[in-house]
This record gives sequence, structure tokens and C-alpha cells, in this order.
Amino acid sequence: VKIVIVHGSPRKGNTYKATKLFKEEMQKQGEIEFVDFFLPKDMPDFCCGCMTCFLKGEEKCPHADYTMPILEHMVSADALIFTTPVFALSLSGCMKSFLDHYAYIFIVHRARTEMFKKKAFIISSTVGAGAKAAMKTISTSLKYWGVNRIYTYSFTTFGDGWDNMKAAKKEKSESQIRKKAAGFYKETASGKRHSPYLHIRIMYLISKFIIKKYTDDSSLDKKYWIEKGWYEREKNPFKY
Amino acid sequence: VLKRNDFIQGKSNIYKGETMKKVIAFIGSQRKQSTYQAVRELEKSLNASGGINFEYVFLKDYRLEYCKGCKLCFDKGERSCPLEDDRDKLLDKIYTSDGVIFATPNYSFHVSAQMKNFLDRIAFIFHRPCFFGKTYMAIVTQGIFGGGAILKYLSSMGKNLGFNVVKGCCLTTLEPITEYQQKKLIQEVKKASLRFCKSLMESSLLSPSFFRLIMFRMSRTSIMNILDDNNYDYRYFKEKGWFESDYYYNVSLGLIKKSIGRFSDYSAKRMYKNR
Repeated sequence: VKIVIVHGSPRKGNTYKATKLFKEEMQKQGEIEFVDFFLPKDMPDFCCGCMTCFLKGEEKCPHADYTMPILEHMVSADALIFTTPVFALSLSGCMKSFLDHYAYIFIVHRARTEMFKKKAFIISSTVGAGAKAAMKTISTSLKYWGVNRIYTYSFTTFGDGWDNMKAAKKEKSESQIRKKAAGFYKETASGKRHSPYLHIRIMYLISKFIIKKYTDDSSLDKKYWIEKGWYEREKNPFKY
Repeated sequence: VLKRNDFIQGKSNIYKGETMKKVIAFIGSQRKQSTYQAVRELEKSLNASGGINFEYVFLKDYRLEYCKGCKLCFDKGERSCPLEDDRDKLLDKIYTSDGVIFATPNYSFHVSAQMKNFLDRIAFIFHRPCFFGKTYMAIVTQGIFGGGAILKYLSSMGKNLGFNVVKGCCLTTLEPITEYQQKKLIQEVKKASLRFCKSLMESSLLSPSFFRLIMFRMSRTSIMNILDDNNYDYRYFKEKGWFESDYYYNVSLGLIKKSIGRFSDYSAKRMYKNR
């Protein structure tokens, strides 16, 4: 089992410690190869919004040296884990920057078929509030990538920090993380494919229609959809 | 140039009744396309009413590093930030202006990473809000959909910073744009500019909403109970007299708001005791 972890925190604080525990627990369950990416080191530049990925191809992205290898790893992995602390009541800036670079694999553009059987897990920690909003932003992106199921876990530290948390509270968080980790391993290893999210299915049908009707024959998106055979009968990424 | 301290002591031009209002627009896109053009359109209709000095700030032109999440700005004050870049330059621009506009395109159903990072870097102001009486508006440009949630997020961020937030606008600018659509967009921006202008000319200290009032009372009570003199937030609140005051600034609250405030204090205190 191969799992890609994208660490969205620039410091190795509460979120990282929780992720470490999650990793350890998963490793106890079975043989796992983890590939770690640390932001912002592995994606230092902001998306410049040049639309090159949509119009000319992702390999022409000005930051392709960073984006392409990470995508390759993500595509070949069995599951994805994203972690983010809460900054300004939402996800961290570097995680946002990471997500911005992958808008071209949204289902309305050129979704990767491999994504449709993947599971993903999002871990977040916060001092007070905002973890839900932070995770929602990531999970929205992931859903549009086509990821099959997304699971989340967040905890509130109230400013104490992972190491200084009250024993009872820490134990509770730890046992929750252990449980979630074991569950996520089972889910990943089983390779079971759940029925896709309803609104993603609807988005798929809408994009299918729009791309066929309104985009130019020379557009990369249309070529990709035709090449994948999604316009043929009985063929769609959900079944791949 | 007015600095943060002058501003906090009430030396900002806004309280002096000067007629020329300064408006600054932060643009969170690296391109000079739809987002920029939307702000240009806003500038045009604001200028029509006169007396406004408009300035653009392209976040891409400033060096702003990724927030490290070290929390030093919360605990020891923003001067202890380990990153030495243009953050203070950008903040000085807000301190010296009367109206602020945050404009961002929709990237992956959220603000652009550049705008997000800017918000991360000034997050200490969420703890110690100071832009009272200044007007704020958010502008979001979207391709097809998803901009509404971003507008909501950016507007609530403005409130967290202390601004008087007026309803912004979410513009659909996917090309090609027909003439009819163009007209509608311009109309929408014009309406937004009127709202903005009205609030800018009044620039008054508004009575807080129930939510903001409760948030203030709860947070000040927990700061009072959890933190101590070693913490900058605590010292700042104490210095400002926020541990005793009704709200961040002097404003007369009605009977209902007053009692809700008292109740929030009480319940926060109880929450702390039971923690």
C-alpha cells in the first residue's frame, strides 16, 4: 500500500504530531510505503493564474518541476492524506497554494481516472475554531478531483499544544486518531469502491454536456475526454 | 506617514473630518485580468462621486513570505515576527487609508493563495482588531460558480479585522463575455460602489451585531482567564480597557444587547471554570 502525505504546516507542531501518530498506527496495521511532501518547501511558488495548464497542458506550467512529480506520486498512490493547521479561520496559505496548482485535474477539466478509486484523509488542528472550514476547502478540491471517499479528523488544543494537553484530553484525542487510522487502513487496503458523491456525478454529466457542446475541438479538455472514451456508451471514470 | 500607534490614538485622518478619502485596493491575483478590471470599474464609479484618492496594491509586487505559524505575533506582538518582508509596508497602507477593498479571483473554490497568505500574515489583527470606522468591501471574480462562499469568507474576515463591512460583489467573468453580460457586471459594480461610498462618507462606529458582541465578550473573558501578563494579547486588551468595556470601542448598546453581553460574560466565565 502506498500513501502520499501532503503536510500543509510550515512548522512541525500539533498537526504534525497528530499525523505522526496516525502514520504509526497505520503502519501497525500492515506494510505501508509513505511518501511525504512538506509545504511550502515542495511547492514554494504561488499559482500565477496563467491558465497554461488548462489551455496548453500541465507540463507547460511554470512550476511544473514541482507539480508534476507530486502528481505522479499522488496518481500512483492508494490513498492520500492532507494535513493543515488553521490559519485565519481556514486552511494554511501553503496548502492553498498547493491546491491552486491542481485545478486542471478537476472533473470539469481533465480528471485522472486513478483518482476515482482513491480514499483520502484530512487531518487538522486548531486552537479555537475554523477546523471545519479548513477541511472543507480541501475536501471540496478533492471531491472535484474525483476522489472516491474523504474522511476527516480535527481536534482543538485551546492553545495548550499537543505535548501540554491535559492527560485525559490527550488520551481521548490519541484513541480517536488510532481508531480513525485503523479504519482508514482497512478502507484503503480493501480497495472497495463506494458509490460516488451525488453532486460530483451531476457535475460530471454537466461537464460532459458543456465540453461536448461549447468547447472548441482543439481544446485540450475535449481531446482528453474523447481520448478517455467518456463519450462512448457505458464508459465513465466512475466505472474505470 | 501615520503609523499604527498614531492610528490607534485616533490621529487617522478619518476622525479629523478631512474631506479627501483614501481608498486602497488589494489585488490577490498575479494577472491583470478580470479581477483587476473589476476593481478598475469600481474605481471609475467611485471617482464619479469625487473626493476619493484611489490606490492599487498588487500583492505580487510585494515580498510576502509564507506564514510560519509560530504564533509569536499573538504571544509577543507583531514586531517579533521572524519574517522580515513587506508585511508592515502593506499594513501601513491600511492604517493610512479610509476604505479598503480586497479583490480575489476564485482559485479552487477559495481565495487565491496569495490573498490567503496575506490574511495569514495579518491574522494577529483578528486577535487585536483595530480598523474600526474604516470601510471594507470584498470583490470576488469567478469563472462559473463557487464565488459566493468566497465572498462570505472574505467579508467575515473584514469583520474580524474590525472594519465596517459593506456587502461586496461576486462577478462571473468567464470569457467570452457578451455585451449584455458586460452591462450587467458594470451595473453590479456600480451598485456596490454606491454602498461602499455611503459607508465611506459616514465612516461611523457602528453598533455591533449580536454575533460580534457575543464573540467579543466571550473572547475577552477567556483571554482574561486563560492568559496572563506575559502574553501580548492580554497586555493589549488590558491597556485598551477591553476587559471592562462594553465593546471594542465606545458605542451605546441598547438594553437587549447590554443584557446579552452580560450573559455572554457570565457563560464564558462558567465555561472557563468547567474546563
